[in-house]
Amino acid sequence: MQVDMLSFADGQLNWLRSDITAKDQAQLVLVFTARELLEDPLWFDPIRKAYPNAALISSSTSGEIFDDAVYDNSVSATAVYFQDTPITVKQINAGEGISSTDAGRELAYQFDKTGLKHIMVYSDGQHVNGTALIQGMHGVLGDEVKITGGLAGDAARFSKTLVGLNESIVVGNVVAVGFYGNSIRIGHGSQGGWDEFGPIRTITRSTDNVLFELDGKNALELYKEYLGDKASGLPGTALLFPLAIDVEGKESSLVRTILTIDEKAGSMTFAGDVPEGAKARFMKANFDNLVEGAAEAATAARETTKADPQLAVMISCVGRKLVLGQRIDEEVEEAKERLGNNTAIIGFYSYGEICPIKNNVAELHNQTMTITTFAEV
Amino acid sequence: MEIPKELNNKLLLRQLKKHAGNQVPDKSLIPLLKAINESYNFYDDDRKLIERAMEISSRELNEANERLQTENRANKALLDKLQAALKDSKVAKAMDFESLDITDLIDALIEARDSAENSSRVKEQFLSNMSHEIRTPMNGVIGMTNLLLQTKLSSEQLDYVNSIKFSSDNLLVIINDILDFNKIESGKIELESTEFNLEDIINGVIRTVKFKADEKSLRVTKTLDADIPSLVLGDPVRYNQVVLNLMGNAVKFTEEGRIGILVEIEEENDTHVIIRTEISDTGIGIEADKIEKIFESFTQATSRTTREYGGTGLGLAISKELVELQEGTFEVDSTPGKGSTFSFLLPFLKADLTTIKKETKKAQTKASIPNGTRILLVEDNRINVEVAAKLLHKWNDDLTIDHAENGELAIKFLTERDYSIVLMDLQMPVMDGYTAAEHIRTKMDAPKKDIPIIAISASAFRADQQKVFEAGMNDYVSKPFVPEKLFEKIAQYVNKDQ
Repeated sequence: MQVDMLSFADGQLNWLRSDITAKDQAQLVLVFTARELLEDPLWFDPIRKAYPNAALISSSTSGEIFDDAVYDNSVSATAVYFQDTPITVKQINAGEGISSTDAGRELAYQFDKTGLKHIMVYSDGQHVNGTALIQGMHGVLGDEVKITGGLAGDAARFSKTLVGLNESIVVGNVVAVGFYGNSIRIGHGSQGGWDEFGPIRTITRSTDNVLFELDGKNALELYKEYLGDKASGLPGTALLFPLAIDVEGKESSLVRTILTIDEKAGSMTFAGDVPEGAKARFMKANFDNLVEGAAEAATAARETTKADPQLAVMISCVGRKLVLGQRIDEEVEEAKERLGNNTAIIGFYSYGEICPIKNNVAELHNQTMTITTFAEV
Repeated sequence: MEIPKELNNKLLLRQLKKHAGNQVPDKSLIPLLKAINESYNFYDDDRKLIERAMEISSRELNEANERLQTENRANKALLDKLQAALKDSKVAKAMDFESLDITDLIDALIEARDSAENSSRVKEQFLSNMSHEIRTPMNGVIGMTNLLLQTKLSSEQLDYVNSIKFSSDNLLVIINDILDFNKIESGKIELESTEFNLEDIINGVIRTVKFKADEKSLRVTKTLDADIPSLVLGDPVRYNQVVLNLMGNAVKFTEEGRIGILVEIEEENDTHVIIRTEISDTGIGIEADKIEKIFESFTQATSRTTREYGGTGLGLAISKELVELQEGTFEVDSTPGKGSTFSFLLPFLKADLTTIKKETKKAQTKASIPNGTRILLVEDNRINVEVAAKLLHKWNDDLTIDHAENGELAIKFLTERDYSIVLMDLQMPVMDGYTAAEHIRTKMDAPKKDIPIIAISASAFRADQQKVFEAGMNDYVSKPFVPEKLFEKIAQYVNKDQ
């Protein structure tokens, strides 16, 4: 396994790391950048030229992670050459007219399951219900195949996200990479670090991932009350108070963050399901805990890789970036330290992270740092 | 040098003032100061947000706390009330109120309710069975008596047979009373809403009591308000029942003088009319302190009443309940030795006039059972078979009537021969009527599977009637049947069939 790290600025590609000896043999390129730079992809031809035979996956972000720092409006990329690991890349459009569950199912059907170890998925972050997408995928793949990944971001604007495979960069896209064979080692870790506070509330009215009422009161009004003058920054500022959701029968609680609000309907749309009857509690940030959470995610990823990771894909929540502000680099620095200096690090700030927690089955998370690590042995 | 304008954090400015005399000592420090300024602002902002959140959340927690306390107090009050109410009951004895867990109490109450409901179900089942057991032989007695009355009898025999008829009719009323009362008591009674003519009902009741009134040489008077609508919407059966009961009582408790019925409009608007129905007599009357008592079930004014006049003591209780069920009111005015006046107010919906024509038209077509009609009578009681067969032949000599003793035989007959209609008893040995009907409807081929089936049942319970339709039968006649009713139903279905 050989990994390149590069960025694009002023019409130029700049390699931070160039390990791949035969660039035309690289099978995979990941590009993370701002939505505007995907709509007008000046970077595309130079990267395509550099890696002519790679599947070129791109995703819009709420900030890019590159090596040990966080950037806005950069074009951050990594290219990978796998010596002994076959990969396949599939996509589906989960836009109008198809449910997220069906999209997940259709996407999973495209993969040959023989020898399939792991799927890394990048999904539109505005039109796709992440929970349903994963359920659809696991429904076809079973529990044997692990799934990690994330939902694309759009700064803190929540208006439009893009995911692309090669030239096809459109709204509603879901792109997945399947990893095969016995040489690949993939680890994962996901941690939040938020503190719950205030009353435990019951979700009294919701439909799938749209929340109307908590304890019989309008949820949007409640958020506005808590946010005070920051309410004008909705939906972005709702990230300051994510919801911890406890569904009866599930061991660990999930964290949900808001995608959009509908003033007319008085509703809030979350990145994953907020089922009626579940318990919900507001969460707040504690800087040190957030940073420590990222570090713990890195440790977990490294341990589950069972080899020194050569590449780490970090997908962290836009909510963390909003809260950590100028300290945002800290979580990447801490995580990098735990992974070791040889690991190439790339990633982005997202609208949702996908990773298994307790068992093999993946779930959609919010407000976490989620790390997938790769090594070939 | 001077402090740049970008530095705006109060704390930072104060510190610069205190430690640097409002000056930036070195230009190279400006980026650092800007970073500090930004950090301070960021933390201030964050602190404000968290403080606000904590304040709201502590208010919310306080409110929740108060709510819980209120709920607790209400629970406590409820417990105290329950404790007082249940002081001597089994439930209370079974539990320790001092260390009572509310869920235990709820469980105990649910259990008590279930057991009460269960025993009421058992009682209803028992009454349903009793009703069947009593009505079946009654059907034989009344049917045979009716047939006997149509033969040539000596005056002595006629006297005896009339006595049998009188007694058996009476017995049937008592049985119906008891069943009715049970239904009202268990809240099972269902009110009909259909168009009917009040005057028709009054005339019918007068015809019924006239015979007995004549025997006692009582005058019967009828006064009807001319403005009473010709058709109203309500429950004619229940109205008839109440009026008949009160008129029956009036005749029963009056030895000389008159009994009268008055029907008038009490109140009226575009859609509704409230009707006052008043039944008065010149009979024995009721003592003022006994008036409340006569409405209690199984109670008459005095025990002497029971000995002298008979009855179950249920009639008035049922009448009052029936009136109140229809959102009416019931009144009594009585002077011992002078007579009594019972009156009740009942609200009715005014019937739509357009439907009146339809009704009259329908009544004009006279029903008949055509010659050659083949009837399969499924019934296990021989006497009932005889009564039914004789009645049917009286209506039309040219009928074929086959008799099957149970459902299984009925299916055999129906397979082998053709019939126009099946009269089906419900409770029979070997195979009951429901099973037989279901078999016919689901297992047999057309056209036989579509043969009209009329259930003849001794059960007066609506739940049983429901079962009849669920089993696929077309209609229902209750035992002991009124001959005209049975005739009408048979005519309706055999004519429809052609």
